[in-house]
Amino acid sequence: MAILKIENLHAEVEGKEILKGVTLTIEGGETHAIMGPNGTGKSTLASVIMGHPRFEVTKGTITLDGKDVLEMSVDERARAGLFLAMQAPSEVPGVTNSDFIKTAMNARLDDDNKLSLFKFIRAYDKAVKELKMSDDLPHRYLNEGFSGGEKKRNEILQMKMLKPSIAILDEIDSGLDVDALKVVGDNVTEMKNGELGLLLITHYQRLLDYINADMVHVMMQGRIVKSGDTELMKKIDQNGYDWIKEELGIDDERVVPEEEERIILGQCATKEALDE
Amino acid sequence: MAMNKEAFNELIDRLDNVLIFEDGHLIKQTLSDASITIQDKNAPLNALFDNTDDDLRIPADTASTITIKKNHVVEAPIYIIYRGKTTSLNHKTTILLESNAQANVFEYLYNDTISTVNFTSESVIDTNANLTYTSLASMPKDSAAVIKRSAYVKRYGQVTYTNAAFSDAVTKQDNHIILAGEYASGTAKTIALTSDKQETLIKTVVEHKAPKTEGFIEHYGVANDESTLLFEGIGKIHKNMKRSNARQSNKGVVLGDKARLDANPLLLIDEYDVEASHGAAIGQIDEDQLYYLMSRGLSQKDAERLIINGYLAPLNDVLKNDLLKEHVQALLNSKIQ
Repeated sequence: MAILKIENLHAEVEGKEILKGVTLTIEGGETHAIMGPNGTGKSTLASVIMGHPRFEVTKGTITLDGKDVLEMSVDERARAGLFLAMQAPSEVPGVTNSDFIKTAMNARLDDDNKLSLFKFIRAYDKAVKELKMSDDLPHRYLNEGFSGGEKKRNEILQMKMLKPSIAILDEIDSGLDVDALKVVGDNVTEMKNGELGLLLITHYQRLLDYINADMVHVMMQGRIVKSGDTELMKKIDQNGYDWIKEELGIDDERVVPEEEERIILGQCATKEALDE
Repeated sequence: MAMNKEAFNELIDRLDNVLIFEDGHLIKQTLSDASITIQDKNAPLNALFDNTDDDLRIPADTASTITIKKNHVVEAPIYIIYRGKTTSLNHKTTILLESNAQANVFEYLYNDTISTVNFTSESVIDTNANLTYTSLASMPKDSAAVIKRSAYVKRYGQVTYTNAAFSDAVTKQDNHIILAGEYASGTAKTIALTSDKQETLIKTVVEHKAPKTEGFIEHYGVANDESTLLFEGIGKIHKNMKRSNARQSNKGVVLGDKARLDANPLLLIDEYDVEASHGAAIGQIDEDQLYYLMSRGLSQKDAERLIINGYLAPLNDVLKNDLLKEHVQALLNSKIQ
C-alpha cells in the first residue's frame, strides 16, 4: 500500500514563503480533504508535491513509500504513482487527447511490453462514456477550447486511465455544475478500491457530499492548523472559518497575496489573427 | 540526417496512383483515371505569372503538363514523385484544372545526392475548379534548393497548399497565389522544420487581383540546432479589389540554443473596403505545457516531441494516407532529435 509522507514542508515562490511547515501523511485507501479560505497555500501544496518548477522547497521532506520525492523530476513522480488533477490544466494545440494519454501510459511500460492499440481504444472509449464526455474527445486537441467543466472531467479521465496510487484533486469542483459534479464524484468514488490514497483540495464542503472523506484538514497561513473528521467538516459548512481563526488567534489567514487585477492597455492584431 | 533511401524506395513502391519522375523522365505511371493527360512540355503561361520580382530564375531542364478536364473530379490523390537520382532535380510542372474540375495532388521532391534543386510548379485553376496541393521535400545536407509554387485562380476557384519543408537543404521556397477572379480563394500553409546549420527562407505572397477574394497565409516553424528559419508573408490587395479578405498567421518554436526563427508578416493594401489581419507568435516551448505533460509521466523528451508535433498538426490533417503519415513522422523525428 502506498504511503505519502510530508514532513515540515516549507516552500517559496520568488523569495516569498508560502508553505510554512506542512505535515501530513496519506496512506493508500484513505481520503483526506484539505479545506481553507482562498490564498492559504492549498494549491501551492499540491503543486509542490507534483514538482512544479516555479516553487522552491526550502525545508522539510516528502517521501512516497520511503523514496525521496523531492529528488525526483516531475515525470518520475508521476511514474512513481503520483497524480495531480490540476485546477487550470494547460491547453496543448495539435496534440490529441488520445495520443497524449497513450504516450503517458506507454511511458510506464518497458519497451517489450507496450500497450496494445486495440485494448487502449476500448478502455479509453469506456472511460469517455463513464465521464459522459463527447465521442469525439479522443481526436480533439488536449483541452483546447474546452469549457471549465470539460477540462475538469478530462483530468479525471486521465486519472482513470493512469491509475495512480496517490491522487491529488486540486479544486476539481470549481466551475462544475451540479450534474457534472455528480459525474466526477461518482467516477472518483468508483476508483476508491482500498488502495488509492486521495487528497481533495477544496473551498467548499459541497464536493464532500459526493466523495466521502475520512479526514479533514484546515489550512491557514501555509500550515495545517486543524484536523478532524466529518464533524469538523460539518461545523465549517455551518459556521465558516471565523471560529477557527478566533480559536487559534489568527488575524489574517492568507499567505498568498490576492492577484492584482491586470490592466489591459490595448490589443494588437496578433491575437485576432492567431485565434482564427 | 536525411531520410534513408530504403524508406523512400519502400514508400514509392507501395503508393498507388503515382507519377514517378526520375531525373526528369516519367518512369512510372499508375494513375487509375485515364482522362488525366500528361505531356512532357511546358504549357505557355508566362503571361499569367509575372516573374519580374524574382531574383534569378534558371530555366528547367525538363517539363511536364498535367491537365484535368472540364467538370472532371479526380477523387483519389495523385502522388507525383520527383527524384533526382544521378543528376540534380531540375524540373517544371504545370497543372491545368479546367472549369469545375477538382484534384488532390501530392508532390514529393527527393534527391539522392548532394546537389542543387530547381523546381517550379505552376497551376491554373479555372472557374469554380478546386486544387488541393500538398508537398514534401527531402534532400541531403549541403544541398541547395530553390522551389517555386504558383497558382493562378479564376472566379470561384479554390487552391489550398500545404507545404512540408522538411529537407536538410539550404532552401528558398516561394509560394505565390494570384486571386484573379471574383470569389477566388487561396490558402498557403507551410510547415517548416530546420536543423543543423541549415538556412531556410519561406516566402509566401497572396495577391488579390479581383474583388471579393480571400487569401490565407499560415506559417508554422520549428528551428533546431543552429539553423535559421525566416518566414516572409505578404498579403497584397490591389486598388479597387473591394471586400477582399487577407489573413496571415505565423507560429513557431525555437528549439536550438543557437537557432533563429523570424517572421515578417506584411500587408500591402491599396483599398479601404477590405478585411485584413496578421500576426506572429514565436518563442520557446511553453513551460506550463511541458510541466502538464510531464506530470502525467512523459519524459521531457517525449513531452517536447509531442508539443512540437502539435505545431506540425496542420500537415497531419491533410495527409490521408497512413503510409505517408508514417513516412512523414519518421522524417520529422530525424529532424528534432
